[in-house]
Amino acid sequence: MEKREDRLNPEEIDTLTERSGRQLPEEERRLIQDFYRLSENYRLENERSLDRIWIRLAQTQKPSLSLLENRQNEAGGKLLSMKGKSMETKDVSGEFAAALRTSQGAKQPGKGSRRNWRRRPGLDVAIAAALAIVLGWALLYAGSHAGTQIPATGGGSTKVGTGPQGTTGVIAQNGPRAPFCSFQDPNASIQANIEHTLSWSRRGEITTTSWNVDTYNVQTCRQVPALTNQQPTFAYWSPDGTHLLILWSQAQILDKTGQVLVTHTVTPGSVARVSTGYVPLVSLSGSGNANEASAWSPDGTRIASVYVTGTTYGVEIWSATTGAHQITLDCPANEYYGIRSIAWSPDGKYLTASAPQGSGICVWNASTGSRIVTIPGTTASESVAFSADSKELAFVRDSNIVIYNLASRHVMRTFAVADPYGSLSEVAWSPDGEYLAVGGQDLHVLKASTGSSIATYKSLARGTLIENLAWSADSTDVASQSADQQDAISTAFVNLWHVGD
Amino acid sequence: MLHDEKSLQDTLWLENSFLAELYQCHAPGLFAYAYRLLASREEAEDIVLDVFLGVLQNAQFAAFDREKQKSWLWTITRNKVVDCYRRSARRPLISIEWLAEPLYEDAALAPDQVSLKQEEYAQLFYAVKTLPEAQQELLRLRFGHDLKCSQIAPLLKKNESAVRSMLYRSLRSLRAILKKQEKGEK
Repeated sequence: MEKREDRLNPEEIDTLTERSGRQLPEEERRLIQDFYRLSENYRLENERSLDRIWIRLAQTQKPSLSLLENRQNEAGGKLLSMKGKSMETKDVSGEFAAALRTSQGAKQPGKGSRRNWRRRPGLDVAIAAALAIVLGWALLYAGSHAGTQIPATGGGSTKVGTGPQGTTGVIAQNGPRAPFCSFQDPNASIQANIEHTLSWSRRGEITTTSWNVDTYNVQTCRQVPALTNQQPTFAYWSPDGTHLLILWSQAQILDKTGQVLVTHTVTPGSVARVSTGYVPLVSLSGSGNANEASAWSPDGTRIASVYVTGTTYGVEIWSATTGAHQITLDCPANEYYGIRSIAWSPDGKYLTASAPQGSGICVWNASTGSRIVTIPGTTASESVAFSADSKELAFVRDSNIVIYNLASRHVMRTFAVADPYGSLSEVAWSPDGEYLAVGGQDLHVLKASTGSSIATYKSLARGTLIENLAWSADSTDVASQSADQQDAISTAFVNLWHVGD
Repeated sequence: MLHDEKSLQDTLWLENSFLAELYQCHAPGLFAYAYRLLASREEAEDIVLDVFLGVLQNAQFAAFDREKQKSWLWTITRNKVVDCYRRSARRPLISIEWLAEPLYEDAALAPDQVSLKQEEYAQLFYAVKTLPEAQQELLRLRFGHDLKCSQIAPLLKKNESAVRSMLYRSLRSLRAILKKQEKGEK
């Protein structure tokens, strides 16, 4: 037995466990064969699942293509022919088709397949054409949604602008409880429940991400083309409003004109600065490490980012100027919930993060990295915020807002907030410390000292929870972002409100 | 359903496509991931379907390099699983029974051979259950989902060599346990 173990090494293990006719030591071969036999029913069931998904995928696409085929026939041009026949590809254009061809050209050599989605020669161009047209219809659909009516309580705005860069959002006409600016950020290119971000710069831009970046000038309610793109990123303004951090497979810091000032690679344990060019994130294995929450320190010199490695979540603080890793902070999190939000105290001394279903709320000394407080939470708290004096925390617990004093380690106040959804999702403390913005299905603004309601702004999105909140620097305005996904279009809805209107 | 001629026809037009290659490369791992966390075959199938529908809708996807495509697929899948997990407000059953004694395959064996084989299966079944949960999980993914180490790596958020080492250790532990069982019987 020992001799056989000696013959094995980790590099050979994949080969060892293949069901090939390779000559293996008898006991190894029997063990692996037994494994395959014992797991056969389960494995076959999994293969049937994959077959079912594939067939459903084909069926989902086929009606659209048939419809298109009919329309093209009516128009006198046969565009598509299904079921393996060759296709004429008249008037086939579009970004996806071109990209697809490029990608197909870069395909790795095919290898044997055991399922019915295996390769069949001669259809590549046809598929590219078909997919391009499906995409075209999706984009047309998205276009048709631009300018759709959305319900607004209390009158005021009626139309929301979307679409090409430079679009103007809605500027409220008049009336109470209407946002003074609204815009939608649809993304027809994805169908996914993605994470969104919302960040309000001190200098008057507001940026939301919905698998792209969309920036609006708050005063004019007009889109800022230089800070709007289709790259899948998450965006955070620096405290002084001069720099925009965008994160995806790399971290980039942009100036206000959209010029990339610096690019960092982001890996767990290190953020390495690179001088120029695109550097892929080699460690982005699986879930992705760079797309978790991030926050600038109040002085703009440090950035805290949530990372995940293995099933372990944590927070890293890194230098915004050099990209150098500084401190790793520990806050055990639930594998599925992770760490949902992080926030610096306004004095820069502390950092807090929420790990719902895990540790709860963690608070660290941002200089030493030591965890000074852990507030266990049996229920999810996705959001946590610091008070203006850095002495208190506000977080969500079910349908309550809890105010916790860091010095005394006690809950000071609890405010119940009645929301149509039944529970709350977000909380944001105004920079002057006076108000709490609370998100559920509606946006609630409370007096932070007493919990008394200042205003409730009814949801303008299509029945979804508010995902992000942001205050203006002068604490007079607040923005809410919610998202909706319908018909393969994920749309972020952003509404800006004057508090007290 | 797979053997239904019409259903099969429906799939033909997609064969050999970019999507087919992508599906073949990533769907087994994504499905295993979703199934592992949600413990619902139906929900896992729905999620993987949604993810690939998302690919069809994504204008930029094909222009991504392979690493970015992979990370996109995993990120979307993960977000959908988390979303589903939140909505259902239930905890996943990580341990799914995946080892079951095959009945038909041993039918040709003589009764005494069948009995011997059944005993070996029982020993292996018992030995697997004594392994740490992580190693059991790895064996399930390797044999139950027929995934290669490179496909398991993103699923367990480990690098490929770590998965290989872990698989190696798991098999080594198994052999040790089986050997011990054998000695105990003697």
